[in-house]
Amino acid sequence: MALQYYLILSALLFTIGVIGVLVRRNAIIIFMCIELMLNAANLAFVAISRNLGTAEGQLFVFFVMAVAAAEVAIGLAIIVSVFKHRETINVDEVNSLKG
Amino acid sequence: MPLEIPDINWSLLMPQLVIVSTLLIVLVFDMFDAISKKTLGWMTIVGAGIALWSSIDLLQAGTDQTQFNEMFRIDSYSLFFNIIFLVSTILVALVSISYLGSGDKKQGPYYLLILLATLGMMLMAAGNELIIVFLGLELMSLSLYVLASYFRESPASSEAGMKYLLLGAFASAFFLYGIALVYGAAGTTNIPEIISKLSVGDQLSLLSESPLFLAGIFLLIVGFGFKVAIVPFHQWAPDVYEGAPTTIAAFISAGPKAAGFAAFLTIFVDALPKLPTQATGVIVLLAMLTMTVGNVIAIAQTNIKRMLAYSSIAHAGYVMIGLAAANPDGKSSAMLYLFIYCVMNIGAFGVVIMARTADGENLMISDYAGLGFRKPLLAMFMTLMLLSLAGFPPTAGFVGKLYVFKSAVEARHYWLVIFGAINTAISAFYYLRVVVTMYMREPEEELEFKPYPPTLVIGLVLAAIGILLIGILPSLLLDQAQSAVQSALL
Repeated sequence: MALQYYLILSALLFTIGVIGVLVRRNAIIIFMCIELMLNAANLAFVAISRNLGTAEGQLFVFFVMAVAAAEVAIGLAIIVSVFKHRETINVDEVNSLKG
Repeated sequence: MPLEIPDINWSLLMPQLVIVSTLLIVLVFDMFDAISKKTLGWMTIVGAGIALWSSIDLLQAGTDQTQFNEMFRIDSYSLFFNIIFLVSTILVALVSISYLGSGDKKQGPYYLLILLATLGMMLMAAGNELIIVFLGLELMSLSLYVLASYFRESPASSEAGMKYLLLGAFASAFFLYGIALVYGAAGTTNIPEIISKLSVGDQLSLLSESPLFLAGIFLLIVGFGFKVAIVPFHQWAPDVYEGAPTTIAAFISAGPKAAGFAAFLTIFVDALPKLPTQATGVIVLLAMLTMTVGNVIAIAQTNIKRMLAYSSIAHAGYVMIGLAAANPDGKSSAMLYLFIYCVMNIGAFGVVIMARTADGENLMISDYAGLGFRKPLLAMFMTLMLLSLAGFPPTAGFVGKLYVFKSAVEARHYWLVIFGAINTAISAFYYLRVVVTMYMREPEEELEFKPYPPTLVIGLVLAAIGILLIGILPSLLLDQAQSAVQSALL
């Protein structure tokens, strides 16, 4: 199948992720949307790699998956520590830092 | 097919290897309660010092090689940036030893994460392949998210960590998608190969106009823009600097910004002349916006950490001038500027830590009233750092600005220079306001200051000597930066 279908799908997924980050207010949902954006990039990498016949793209995907896992581990830990202080993870209510 | 393992010249990787072994040693020693907590800080300093020494050694030997199948570049450019990162790390560790004190807090992870972030920065500067740049960026960012929220019992620190994490991860996703599109259009992730594919002979190739490629380049600019905090991607910076531990705010404002620019410059200084002129226009516009918005908002700040945050945004704008010039002089002047900026900014944050009282930190600018008479040493350091940030001769800040503006004149970006000059004048207003507060206002209440911790004074003296030395003898650094750029051209 032609490359552009995969790229359009990945661009759609990426856009859904971006809109989610901008619209949703729950920190964990925002985080999930960021993961969606990373996976959209993964899809693009795999499709392009297959199309070009080179392995670099597939290699990239493995690294991205590892990075995303590390990011989730750190991210959830930080979100839990915010929840302990404020009993909320709504990003509009966590706003004591302002100038 | 037999697997070919490339020859690795380990001696060229000394700086990175030293940092890795130091962080492992810190990790192991952290488990023994008998080890004093300050020892861990000193180990960090010694490790970073050895790495610094071996970077300088490699730089003087004129090393110019790639390792790991051309993924990793050890040349004078990456070694120069190694020096910036390691100097920042040493200064921050010196300041941290007294900031963290010998309290109950666990300090092993703190120094461990600082070293990990430093390693990530070194990877970013040495990356010859977008995958290395991405991994370095993530290694650095993930360590910094944790460091920003290191004071778990402080709500502000946790909040700073969360904001940094959400916006940082968001930016990383943009950066990654940019890489994917560039890879799709160019068919490779090797940076020199991508740049060489942009032109065929003297003509620009089709690639330089392919929409896929330009979209990728645009996303890369967005990703880098977040990481180095240029307007309009700067909103996280003031909140994170205010909430994070002050030492970490100093660290985030220095090394990671330089690392972001290291990768930004590698890709864009060579690529910009080969891209449609609109790309240069975007960079010029971002530079103007960043300088102006950073400086104008800084005027309104009453909290010194927030003021320094907006000032660091404005300084990113000055570095962008060098980037927009996109000539060898622009690159070397941006490198020089980043070095000077790191030293003076860590110095300024160091003084903020030095002005602590028993109740905690004094972060309001009004708290600095009358310091000039009651704490002459502290006020003197602060004045020197602020004058350098504002760009007064004979400090290093003046030299940095001069060379950046000069490169922009050579590239005929006259409007950029005019904007830069106006902004320097605006910035002088809020920097000097702090100096005036220190020397000409009476304090409203008597504050009991803590005695000066020795390591902090050492760090500040080093920063002050550096600023004056570079200010008086700029050729010391400029020659290194210029030869680093020259060697890349040959």
